[in-house]
Amino acid sequence: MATTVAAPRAAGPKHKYESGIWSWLATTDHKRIGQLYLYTALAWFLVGGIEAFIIRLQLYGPNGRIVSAETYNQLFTMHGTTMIFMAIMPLSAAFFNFLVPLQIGARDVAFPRLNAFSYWVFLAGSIFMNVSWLFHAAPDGGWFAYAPLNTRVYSPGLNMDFWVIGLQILGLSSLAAGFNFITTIINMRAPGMHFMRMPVFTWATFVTQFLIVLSFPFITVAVTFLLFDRFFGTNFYEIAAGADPLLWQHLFWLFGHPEVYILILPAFGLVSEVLPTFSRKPLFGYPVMVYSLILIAFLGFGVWAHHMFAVGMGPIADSIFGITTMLIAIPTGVKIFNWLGTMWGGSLRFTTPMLFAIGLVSLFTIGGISGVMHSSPPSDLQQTDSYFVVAHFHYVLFGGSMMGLFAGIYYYFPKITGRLMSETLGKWHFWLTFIGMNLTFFPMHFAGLDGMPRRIWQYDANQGWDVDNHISTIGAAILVVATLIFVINLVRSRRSGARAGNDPWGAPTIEWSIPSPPPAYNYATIPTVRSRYPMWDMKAPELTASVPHSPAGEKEVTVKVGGATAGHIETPADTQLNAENAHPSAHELGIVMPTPTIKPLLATLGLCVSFFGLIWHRHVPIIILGGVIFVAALYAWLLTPLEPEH
Amino acid sequence: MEAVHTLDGVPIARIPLDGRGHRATGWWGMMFFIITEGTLFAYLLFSYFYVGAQSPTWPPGGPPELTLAIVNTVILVVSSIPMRLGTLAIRRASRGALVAWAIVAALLGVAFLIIEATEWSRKPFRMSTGSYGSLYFTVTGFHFAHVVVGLLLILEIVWRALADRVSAARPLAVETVGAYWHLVGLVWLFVFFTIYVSPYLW
Amino acid sequence: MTGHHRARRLYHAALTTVFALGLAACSDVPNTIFGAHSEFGHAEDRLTYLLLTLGGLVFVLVEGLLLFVVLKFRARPGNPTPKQTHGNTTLEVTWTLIPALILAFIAVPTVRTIFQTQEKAPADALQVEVIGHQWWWEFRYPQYKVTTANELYLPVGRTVSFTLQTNDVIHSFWIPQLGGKRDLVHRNKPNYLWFTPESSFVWNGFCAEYCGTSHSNMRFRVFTVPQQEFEAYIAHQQSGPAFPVAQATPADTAKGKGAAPVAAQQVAQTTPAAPGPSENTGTWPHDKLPAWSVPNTPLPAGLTMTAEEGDAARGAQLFKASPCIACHTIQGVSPGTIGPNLTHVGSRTTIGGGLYPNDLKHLAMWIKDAPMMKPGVIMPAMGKDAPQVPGAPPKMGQYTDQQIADIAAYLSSLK
Repeated sequence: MATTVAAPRAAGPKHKYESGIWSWLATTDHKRIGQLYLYTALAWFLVGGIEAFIIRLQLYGPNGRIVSAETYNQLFTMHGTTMIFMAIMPLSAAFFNFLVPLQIGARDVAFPRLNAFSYWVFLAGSIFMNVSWLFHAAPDGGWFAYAPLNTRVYSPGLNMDFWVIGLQILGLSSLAAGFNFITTIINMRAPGMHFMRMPVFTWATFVTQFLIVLSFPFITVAVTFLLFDRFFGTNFYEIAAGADPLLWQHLFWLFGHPEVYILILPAFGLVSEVLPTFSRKPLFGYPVMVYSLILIAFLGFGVWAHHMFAVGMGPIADSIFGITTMLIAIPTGVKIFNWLGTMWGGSLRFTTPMLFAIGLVSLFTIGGISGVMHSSPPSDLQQTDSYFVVAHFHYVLFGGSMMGLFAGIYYYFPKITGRLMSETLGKWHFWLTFIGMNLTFFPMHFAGLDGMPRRIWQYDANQGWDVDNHISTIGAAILVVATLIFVINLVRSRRSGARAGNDPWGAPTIEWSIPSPPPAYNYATIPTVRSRYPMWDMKAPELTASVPHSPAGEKEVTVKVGGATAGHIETPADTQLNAENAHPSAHELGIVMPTPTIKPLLATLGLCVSFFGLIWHRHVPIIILGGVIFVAALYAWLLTPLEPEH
Repeated sequence: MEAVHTLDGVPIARIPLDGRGHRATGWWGMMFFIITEGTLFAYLLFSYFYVGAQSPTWPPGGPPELTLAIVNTVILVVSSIPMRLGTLAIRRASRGALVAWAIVAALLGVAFLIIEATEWSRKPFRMSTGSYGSLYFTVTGFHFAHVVVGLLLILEIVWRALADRVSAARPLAVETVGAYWHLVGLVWLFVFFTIYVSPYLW
Repeated sequence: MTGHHRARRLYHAALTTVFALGLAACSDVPNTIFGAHSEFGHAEDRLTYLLLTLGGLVFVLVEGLLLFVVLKFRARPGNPTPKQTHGNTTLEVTWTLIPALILAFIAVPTVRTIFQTQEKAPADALQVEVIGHQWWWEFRYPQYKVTTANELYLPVGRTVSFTLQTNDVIHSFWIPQLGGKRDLVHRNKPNYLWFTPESSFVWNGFCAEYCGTSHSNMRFRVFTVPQQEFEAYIAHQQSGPAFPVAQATPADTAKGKGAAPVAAQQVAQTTPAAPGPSENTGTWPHDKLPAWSVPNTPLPAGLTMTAEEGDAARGAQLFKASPCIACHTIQGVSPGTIGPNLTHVGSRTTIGGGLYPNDLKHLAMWIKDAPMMKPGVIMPAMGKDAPQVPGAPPKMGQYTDQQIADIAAYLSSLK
């Protein structure tokens, strides 16, 4: 029995889903799904960027004539919706998918098929929303689509139909992913991977998923009401029938503010991985970093009405929400200082991921400061809905989220593809992004303080806004160039970048112990973890001397099933792997992996058919047909076991 | 011949796909599904109270008639008992008892649906009548849909029990369906309090 | 006045100067929120200065520290292993407490200002009802029974109390130089806002909440005038329509010049020599409008106006029989309330929600094809050869250019 046999490569039964297009359509592998998220989200990031650039061209000078008012309103609505729901969130999801099982030492996520379903639903929702462009009916209500402008009376066209259905589909994807990842992190950590040993990115994921599970139902409720109003004649937002227009705002911002943290916390997590590696120091104040994540998330539910200071809530509510908003600055500030503490006294290597991480620290600080300015309601009355706010949230979302995500892409690209991205192009990308970003968004502070309202299609001459807008548009052009360089770098490095090896950066966490790209089963044997920085324990023990380890003789965590008792991590042999078959397959190792299946994709198609039936003249037979496909695929999926039966 | 690989002399046996905690992954999944659904209802009820607080008269037609709702509440809450007994039965490997109890729970569920539909048909307002009508039918309709899904799940359990696909060693399906059914009953208590009791306390 | 107060005033004066100079140095900024001209605006400014000062300090501190760290601790050959630290409780407590302290310094004046600015307005305040429409502003003075649109006259030194409501979707009322914005949310539950203008001038106002297609074209002007001129204005607005008056309406000097931007001087020429804020109308002299309050919106391509001079008397007859009366009020002439009240439309400086200067040419083109002039507008085209904009309401009139010029002349005469 205990004989090691080099089984012939072709011994396993070759499944039809193991290669070619089917291997992607039917995949349940979290690493493949992560890559699908990554490339899809980057594609939408480019689309959202093009929309933004057209907006900037239109606003270059007074009374711009590049696009019509209708198109302009569609552009800024879709720019916001795209960047939030189809670029930043799924880019974060790409990392949740690719990294979390690797970081906690698991084979896959808790529900691999549900995970595939989440991705397909996201893809369907994002395509659905953008199909509207073909009908010249892209959503045009702003990304927060205030009632009653979003109702049939004031938005009679298909535009907001696409938005309301599209958002409902995207929300479903996030919710399904939410409890999948919570379960994964609670239940699938490797032995010894205590909560306080988890990499901070996994912590950020964990907290983010709780935010999703608790805040997305708000948008689900809000959008369901709107859907019923628009299609079935209910009166949730119809002011003519006595509805209160603020119901939408409360529901939307109860979702919308936690959403801000859903967008930023994963980037914080990535930066907390990158900074220690390139400072060659452990993260400064790990416990405080974890607690501040939790505190930010918790406080994030108590500040929603700071988006509504101008609606007249009365002095008491204004004061309460002003103060809760100020409080949230404290844990956020702690993170900034702890990152500085991490770098202090370190041995900093300015690789591209490190530059983007430092970029986040410097730019997010600016967004944080202007955020505190909004927390004071009387002052906010002069800032809200002006370009000052536009500047603020772009410093948070571009300077924060996108910088962090770029850091993550450069940092983990070698793990994902086995190849390094070009440092030369990467540095061009960083500096042009950094300069372009500041040129684009810093003048918006001035435009806003000088009275320029947001979401305006044209502005008049002689308002004192011309110079600010000229500079912003020039900055946006630089961002376009920077992004092109990034795309070139990505495509070229994927094809012909330098081989990365297991651990190109000298990083501390266990995902760097396995080959790049990792085999389907991730770890040949599940690792046992004894400290926060297992790789440094082995490769550079002097770096982790001050970090808590398992006390000697601590009882190993019992593994419920299976016999992987090897109490150490596989020796990270930095072998150059030429082909993915260079390491033994799961089948050869006797590891049972989830069966590939297209049922999640079929279920998603059923949903699509239903929603198209709804938007296409409420065609009942088509709606029912879609429902039947969905239920049938779901049922077939639930009936087939996850793994092949033996 | 099936090859058996070893690492440091230990066979690399089946390394778990389904987690290493004390609870099965499916159990956690159902828990968080329940939390999500519970949150959804909490926010629906939040909307009810918000709109109510903003309206001069609430509910517009006076507090709702209670009789049918009380009967229905009792039926649905009581139906959790046979569901629980069914779960205990399968843990004792008593498949017959499971089938019997599950059918009792399902029948109570069907009774709930019939009474609920009866009550709907007696309402003088519709979904499109005003904010109250919209909220009333959306909240109770959502709950109605959850009961329907619960019934389908119970039927699936019965079918699996008859097909010999659940056992004392594999009670997870029954346990998760049971948890879902309890959620449906618990949520109804909140719905009942909000829509039927709170107008009397307003 | 105590020394403490003097010091505070000095501090604020110094900050005002610094920020105002700093911003003014870049360009001319007529709509800046700094150096506001009402006590409401001052209260907000004081907080904004405080926030900018503290925020500036934090910015310099953090970015300075970051720059120092990046320059000092770059990796050098031969020293690969830095000294290892994984936290420092004292430091971490310190940088939790210091921000908390800074925030307390912000929170106290914030709460005080909230309660100050949201007190009840003085009982003798001038009442103004603001009603938002897609995409124009209706202003009513209930104490004087005056209704007007898109231009607001306020007396200097008297507190004005606004009651803000909307007729359709949510709008937001914002005059950056007079104070922060307030949303128009409900139809029957108004929002409130009050302030006291301090100096006499012309201010730009905007809709600050996205409200649909022509959100950017929902602008207004505020004229703050001395009390006696305000009274003259009100008295004039209370009177009936000015027609018939002497029909000294010189031809549009910009005729046939296409879409050339209309400069301020041209407007002054095209408008009949209006008297200064005199006893009879009390309106702001059109030749003394600052550049930023004169719209420069280019005319849409493809819309032409061939008629030369209109005849106001003929225009008055045409108007009475036109579909216009269904939507517009002219006191004693027509009852409509869907569009702006036109009783004294000739006295205004702009048309179309602050989008075009109110001269004969623009007025005529507006009447001919409003949907081309302003996207999404519900006023239908009236001209015989006016192009039908896709999606716009169907054309309602078949007027020739000459007839339209007549109507424009009539409306223009309604000073």
